[in-house]
This record gives sequence, C-alpha cells and structure tokens, in this order.
Amino acid sequence: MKKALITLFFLIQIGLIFYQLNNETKFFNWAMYHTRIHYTATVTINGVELNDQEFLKRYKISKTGVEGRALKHLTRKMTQREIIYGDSSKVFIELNYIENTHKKDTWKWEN
Amino acid sequence: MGKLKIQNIYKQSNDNFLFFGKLIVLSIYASAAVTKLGYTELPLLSFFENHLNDTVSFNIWQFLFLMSSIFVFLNRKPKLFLFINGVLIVLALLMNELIYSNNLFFAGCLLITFSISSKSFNFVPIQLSILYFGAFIDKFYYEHWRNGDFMTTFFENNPNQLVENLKPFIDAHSLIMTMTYSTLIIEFLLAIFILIPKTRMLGLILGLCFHFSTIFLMHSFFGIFIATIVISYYSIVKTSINFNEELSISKFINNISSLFKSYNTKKEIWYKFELDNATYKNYKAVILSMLLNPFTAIFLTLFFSLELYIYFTMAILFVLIIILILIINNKFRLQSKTI
Repeated sequence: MKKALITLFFLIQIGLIFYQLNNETKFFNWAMYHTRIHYTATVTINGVELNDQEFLKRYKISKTGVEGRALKHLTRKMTQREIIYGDSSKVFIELNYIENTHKKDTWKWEN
Repeated sequence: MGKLKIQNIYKQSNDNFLFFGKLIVLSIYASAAVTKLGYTELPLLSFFENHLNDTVSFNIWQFLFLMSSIFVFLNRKPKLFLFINGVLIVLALLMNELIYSNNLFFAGCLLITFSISSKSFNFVPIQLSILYFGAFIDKFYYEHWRNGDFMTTFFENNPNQLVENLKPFIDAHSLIMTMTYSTLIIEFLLAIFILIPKTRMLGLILGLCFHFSTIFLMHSFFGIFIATIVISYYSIVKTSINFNEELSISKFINNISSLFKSYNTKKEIWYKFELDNATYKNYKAVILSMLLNPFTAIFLTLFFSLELYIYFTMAILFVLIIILILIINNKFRLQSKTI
C-alpha cells in the first residue's frame, strides 16, 4: 500500500508535467515561466473606471506592471475574482500588453 | 584537547531526512513565505470557494502548520508531521492561486519526499530528477524558449554586464542561443545524472554551477528555491553522521568551549577531528568539523532564505562547488589521512 502511494505521488507529478504542457498557467508542472508581459489594465465597473488604488484593492495586482509568468495568470487573477465574487455589476476589462518581444496586443473580457 | 568524532561520510548512509526536513520548515518560516499561506482568496479548487471565510481558513491553516512544525522539531512522530507539513503547503497553493509558486510547491514536495525516504531508500534523487525533467521538457516544447525570445526579452529588460562585455566578441543572437540551448542540455543532463548513483556527484556539481550561473546572469535570489535546492543536494550526499543527534545546542557550546580552551593551551595538537579511522588535527579539523556540523547547515539555510546579499549567496554557492569538486577528486581524503 505504502509503495503504491509513493509511486502514485511521483506518477502524479510526471503526469502533471505532460498534462500541463499545453496549458498556459502551468500549475504544478515544474515549468519555469518563459514569458514576460508588460501590461496596462483598464477596468470599468458599471461604466466607472477603477483608479490605481481601487484596482489594486480589487485584484491584488498593479494596474500597470510586469507579469513574469504567463498572460493567463494575469487574466485569471481578474476574471476568477469576478466569477467567484462578482455581483450584478457590469464589469469590463481591457488589457494592453506586450508578450516577450512580440508586438502590442489587447485582451478584453466582460461579464 | 578538543575532539569531535564523526564517522566516514562515504560508506554508510544515515537517515538524516528528518534533519533536512527541519531545514525546509525553517526556510519557509525564515523567508516569511509562511505568512502568505492559508488564505482562500482565489482558490484553484472550486471546493474552497465560499466554503470558508478567508481569515478563518488562514488561522486554521497557520495553526495546523505551526503545531505540525513544533511536533517535527520536538521529534514527536516527526516523519508523519513532516508529511503533514508538505501536504499543508500543497493544499495552501490549491487554496489560493495568488500565492502559487513553483518554489513553494517544490518545498512541499520535498517535505513529503523526506518523510517517505529512509535509510533503505532515498527518494530525493527521483524528486530532483522529475523537477529537472519537467523544466527541460517544458522549455523544449515551448517555441518561444527554443527561438530565444525569452532570453532576448529578459536581457533587454535586465542588462547584464558580462553579457554586454561579451557582445563585441560574439554576436548577440549566438550568445542568446548558446544560453538558451545550454540551459536545455544542462537540465536534461541533470535529470539523468542525479538519477544514476555513479554520476550523482557530477550531477550535483553541474547543478550547483547551473544555479550559480542563473543567479549571476539573472541577478535573482529565486525565493527559497536555492535554499531548498542546496538542502536537497546535501541530503543526497551519503553520510553516517546523524545530524539530528548532533543537533544539540549544549553539545555545540561544549565543542566550542573545549576548542577555545585547548587552543589556548598552545599544545602542538590542540584539536582533533575523527572520522572512522582517519584523524585530522588543528585547523583542518576545525574546518571539517565546521563543514559537517548541523548548525552550519542551519546558518546557511537561514542565510539563503533571508535573501540578504546576492553576492554572498553566490560566494557561498561557489565555495560549495569547490568543496564538492574536492570531495569528488578525493582531495578530502577522509578515510586514509591519519596522524
């Protein structure tokens, strides 16, 4: 039984390596994150834009900054909060970013 | 005359995993990483959503981790509580993705690995091999790593003097691609070397050189990762020293005071260090007894975890590389040298 559990412990880790290979967030798969994203986020709640302090308080991240992991981490921090804790407010998120050496891009989300 | 008796560090292996587990727990507390754990702010597992108040979950988690750590340090069913501590760390990461970090995940897995390892089987090489294999395969699979995008962006944003100095001699693209592919090759070799007993020591040297160069080039402490890596490497080196038994403050103070007393006697041999049949004397004995002392390991763990001076961190890693090279070349002839 103990042997089986120990084997399972290591097999799960190996399984996660391959399972998360195509997943941008790469949780629990020992991958060092390979992207650096310079971003600026704009969020409006019922048409009113959040300032720097309000943004930080709501999402626990800076309105402008660098994400050293992956774009998905950045977007998840905002969308998951809205999905889990969101009320009837109309939320619109716009993220302008540059990923590694690529050109500028924009990501948008609304509930 | 001061005297410290320790057995051969090559032939036998002792179950020091409890001691190394204590070092990991110490590192988690010293680095203050523990203060972020236990919240259910943005859970990765939907089970934690709205089930527990954030403050309540934090207090429960902190209490459980603290109690479990106390039992580990009091040697009360320590392996069981090391395991619980490891599981609690992984659980904390599942409870809040805002604090997710591979460093903490590694610390949690290492605690579990130490708890299941014993004199008869050391699982740490398997854990390390999985870590390096995961890092290798992900980079190998990821196009933006292979084409040098990551390295290019990194050094554009964080210029390194060595890289800048090399630019007149080697074009930037070649330099970036050399670093990109050497990382891939080294991580792959580490995954293999550490797994095979015959190449394990070589793997440790390669690993220390690799981590030394990443700290140097990226100018980053990498959180508690370096502390946990050095601890895991140390746990692979076979030793018959029982660090847990040597971990006694009164014993440590007695050793120090007897050392000073005997040093002041001005005798020809004022300190001895025994290792099976080999005996070292005076300064060499002092250096060896310091190197193989659990309190040195504690000091280094605290130093790495507190992230105080990056150049000292690099200097210590460099010294560790030299020591390993000396050991592998039998310059530390711990068995045959006698007086």
